[in-house]
Amino acid sequence: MLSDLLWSLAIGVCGLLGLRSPYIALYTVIFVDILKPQALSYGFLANASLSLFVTAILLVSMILNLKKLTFPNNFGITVLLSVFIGWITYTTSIAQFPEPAWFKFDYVIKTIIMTIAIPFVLNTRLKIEILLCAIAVGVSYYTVIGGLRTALGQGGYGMPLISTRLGDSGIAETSTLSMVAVFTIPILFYIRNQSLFRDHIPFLKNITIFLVICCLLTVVGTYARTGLVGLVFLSFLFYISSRHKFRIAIGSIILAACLFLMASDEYVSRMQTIENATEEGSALGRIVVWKWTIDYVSDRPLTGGGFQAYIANAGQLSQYSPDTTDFNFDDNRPKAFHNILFEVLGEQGYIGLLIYILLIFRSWQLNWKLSRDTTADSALRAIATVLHQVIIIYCACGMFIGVAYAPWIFYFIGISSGLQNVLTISRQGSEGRERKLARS
Amino acid sequence: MLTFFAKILVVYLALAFVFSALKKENENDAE
Repeated sequence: MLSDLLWSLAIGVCGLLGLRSPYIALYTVIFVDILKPQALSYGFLANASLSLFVTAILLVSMILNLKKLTFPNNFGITVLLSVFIGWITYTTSIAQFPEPAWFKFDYVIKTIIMTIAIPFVLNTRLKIEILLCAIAVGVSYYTVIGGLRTALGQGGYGMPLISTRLGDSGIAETSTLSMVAVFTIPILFYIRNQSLFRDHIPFLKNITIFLVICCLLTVVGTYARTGLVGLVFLSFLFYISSRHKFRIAIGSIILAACLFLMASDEYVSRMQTIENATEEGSALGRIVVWKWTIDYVSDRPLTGGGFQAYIANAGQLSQYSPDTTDFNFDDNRPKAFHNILFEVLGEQGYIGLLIYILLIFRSWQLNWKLSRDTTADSALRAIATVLHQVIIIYCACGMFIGVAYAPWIFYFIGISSGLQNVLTISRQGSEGRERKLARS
Repeated sequence: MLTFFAKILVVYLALAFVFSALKKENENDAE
């Protein structure tokens, strides 16, 4: 009950303030979408339509504050998102399993429409930063609990690190949680070192360091190999983007040594199974499903099987398993795709996969170019660096989990598009100032 | 106890960012 009051206080205040400022309303939508208080609650918020409520506030706020909105100047991403909406609607209409397909379509379409709306709201650095804060704050609830539980020795392989009313799903699923914990780290470092908030919120610098430690402990506590892959990529990305390469290299080695010293033998032996992917059940299961997906799509290469097409692999996987293993899939249960590319391929066919890859590649490319553009504002370059890092970590971890339509990647795509608005406005502003100086 | 601590921290941060952003925006508008 007290928890529900706390969540209601935060959402109510943000929602009210959001009526005046669309970016605060968008902050509230992202905060609620990631945190999902309705899934954590056992009181009056349980199953409440919080997402609908805050999205309605955003719509009202956008209508009331039309003058505060900006038309996105990067049409590429908006057009690709619109084409993707059309394509998934078509593939869902001919899906092999219509009922579960329309169920998944329902939340995917909401996420993509929200992504299209994001760049309309973003036209200043402050607004970009607060959306990154919304992601970091929403995730923090899970990483603080996960990190502290790991530090107290309460985790273990096969045990959910976070308990929600909906069980081991969404962000609480261990592999997903480990990926989210890793990509939150660069966002937290940006908030601590370069954001406009860094000197204005009491204890922020200490809190962000605490949150980074919690993220690292959460990665260990989940026992997910996905998290270790994410950490390796994160260290590499920090290394290539930093001017202090030697310090980053030494820091990463010390951190890795500390994590492995602190981690239990069970964790170390779990991580060592990465080397024997074809012999270990969980990894082998993924490889078998990927082989099945290629065969499945060969019958319907353009459209795939529609959302939740993996259901079709029930009872078929044993024929894809190597004869050398005694692992069997004869229990007739379907196995999910466990890979963002195979998930989109199986569900949307090669055309859907092409649009999806183009979306992610274009967003990454915009950030990569901006992060290396020495003529751009240094703060915008730093934000672009963070976005390019999180997109790569997402893709690397996404090779082992089925999170193709999870909201985070779409938020990063939307924020990347919004960042281009801010860049254009900032360039127009500096050109205007230069012209004034030339005249005077 | 752990979850309560996490909730307090998250609510503090959520509100702190919003009020700080609005303050910053008002300062920018005033300039």
